This record gives sequence, C-alpha cells and structure tokens, in this order.
Amino acid sequence: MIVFKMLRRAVVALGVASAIAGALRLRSGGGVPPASGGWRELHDSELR
Amino acid sequence: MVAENANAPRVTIHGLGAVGGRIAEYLTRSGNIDVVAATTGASGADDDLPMRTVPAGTCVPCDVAVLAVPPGHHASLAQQHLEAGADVVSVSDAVDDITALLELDAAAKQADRRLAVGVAFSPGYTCLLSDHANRYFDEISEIHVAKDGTGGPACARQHHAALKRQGWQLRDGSWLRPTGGSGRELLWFPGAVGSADCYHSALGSPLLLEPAFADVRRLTARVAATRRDRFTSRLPMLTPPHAEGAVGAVRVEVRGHQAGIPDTVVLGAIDYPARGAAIVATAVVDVLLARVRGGANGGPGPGASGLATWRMATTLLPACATYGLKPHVFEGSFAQPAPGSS
Repeated sequence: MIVFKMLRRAVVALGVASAIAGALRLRSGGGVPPASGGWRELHDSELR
Repeated sequence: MVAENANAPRVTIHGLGAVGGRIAEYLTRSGNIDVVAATTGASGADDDLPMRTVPAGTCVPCDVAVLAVPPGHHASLAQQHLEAGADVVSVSDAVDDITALLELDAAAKQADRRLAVGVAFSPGYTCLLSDHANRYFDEISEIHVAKDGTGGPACARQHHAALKRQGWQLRDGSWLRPTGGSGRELLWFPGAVGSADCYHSALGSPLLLEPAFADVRRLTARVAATRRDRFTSRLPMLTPPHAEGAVGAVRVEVRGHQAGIPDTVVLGAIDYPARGAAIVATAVVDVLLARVRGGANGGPGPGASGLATWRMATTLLPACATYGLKPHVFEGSFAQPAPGSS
C-alpha cells in the first residue's frame, strides 16, 4: 500500500511539474538573440 | 606672427598642455581673436601659432580667461580674472577646484561675469549630454556618469589621485561618500572603448549636476579602472604618465518618466579626453565671445556653475560637433529609435 501511495504521489508531482513547465514554455517566446542595435551617432537635427 | 587687431576680443589661456595647447590652436584658427598664452612650461601647442605668450600666472586683461593649468590653481586665477572683468572658463575636473570655483558664485554675480566650472570631457561634455537628455523626460530621477581614459600628464595624475579618494553620490537628497575604488559596475562605452569596469572616485560631475536638476534623486559618477589602477592608487605613480593618453569615452545614463512611463536614455561620446575637453572649452569660449561681441541673445546668466545649469546643449552640442566631437545614443539590442527621434 505504501509503495502504491508513493508511486501515486510521484505521478501527481510529475504531472504538476509538467503542467507548470508547459505553461512557462508557452508563455515565453524564446526568440532570436539580438543581432543589431548598439551605439548610434545623433544627427544634427536631433541636437537642436 | 601675431595678428594685431584692436577690435578683436582677447582670450587669455593659462597653461598650454594637452588641453590648453589645443584650445589655442582652435581659437587662433578663427583668426579674429587676440589669443594670449600664459605659460612657461612645455607647450602642447605649435610654436608658430599666431599668439603672444606671457609668464605663467600673469593675468592679462582680457574678455575671456581659460584656465587649463594643473589642478590646484584655478580658484585664485578665476578670482583675479573676475575682479578684472573677464568671464572665466575652467577645465579642471578636480573636486577641490570645482568646489572652490562654485564658491565664487557670489563674486561672479557681483562682477556680472560668468564662471564656467568643470568645462572638460567629464564633467563638461557629460553635463551637456545630461542637459540634452532632459528633452526625453517629463521628470528625471537618476543620472549616472562614467568616463574612461585620461588626457595629458596632469589629467593622469588627477585620475590616479581621485581613485583613492571618496566619491560624491546623491541619494534621495542626501550626499553619500562612497569609498574610492568601490562600487564596481560593468559599463559599455561607445566605439572601440567598449566595456569597462567602473568605480566610485572623487569626481565632480554630481556636484555640478545637482543644481541643474532639482528633482533628481540619484547622482553617481564612476571612472573606468583596471586592477592595477586600483592596486596602485594608494601608492605614488610608479612611472611618469604619458604625454597623452589613448582614446577615451564618456557615457551618461539618465532615468526618469515620460508621460508616466519609466524610461532610460544612455548617451555617450568617444574621443581623446584632452581633445574632447579642448573642444568643449572652445565652444564655451565661442558662446562667451558672442556675448562680448553683442550678437548673443540669452545665454548664461552671471555666476559660477556647470554647463548643465546653462541649459545651452542645443547650442553647445552642435558647436562641439563642428569640431568633431559628436554625441552618440545607445539604442538597445533591438535598435529601437531613441525617444523623441524621428
């Protein structure tokens, strides 16, 4: 009985962890590492 | 060959080092300024510049006096020139000089003259960048200044001495004195300078920015330093400084609110620090001479202050750009346009 209870708890814990991981996976897009940007010289028109 | 023109405004330059020598070159280049150099030491200017030289420390009557001597002598020279009726431009970035010069505010107002304090690469150009950033915000809450590099030998000695002294940091209306060499922060500068670890140090920028930004809650200033710089800062300089340092850079990170939304703007510039300081000082001299010639409307009022208080970034930044010192903005990793840019 104790073994079945432990197994059941383990299965529930794995299920909850999978659900959380899945939700986080869906929410965060990941995306592409930035490949542009940085410092840019200000134009004369931006100084006045 | 010195051009004699009785109507030309006169500018006296104290010190012809890496900064003063360049200022002399820029001013004599215009051809309609009577430039007098007060110097006896090694000159950082070409020998054939059309200007007169007088012994160091001589206060020749003039319209504008530029103080480009090593730190420690600026307040006494400024006082003499103010009493003689000249506007004064000090390029010193030493805290002791800056505080002593700001204390001459009453004397400058009484003489109806302008005493521009901390007119260098940082402070100076960083004050102009902070003023420029003002346009992006309804309210500025934080300004963080950093610089990398040194100019001539006097600047290198000042950098060495400043790193072991307590800095100035404003936090919620109170001045804190962080230990020199503490507060490491990895900061990115424009161009080839790139990233550098920066530390608290005895820098005058916060003292000059605080009067110009009434609502600001945090002001910090850091200087880029290597481990060797920090280790040897409490020792005498082990080797004589170079005649001039390598390319340096400055950056100003400004935080505030625009239409209720918090935002951050990072501005910077890259140049040889001595050249950058000379360009800023020359642009300021041009503004002051325009007043002498009677062609300027508005401009700075009498008194002693930093350039951010002048609120003339729209005039001085383009003027500096004509000499080759151009501001940069950090646009972030996704190249979003800077706030307010078209």
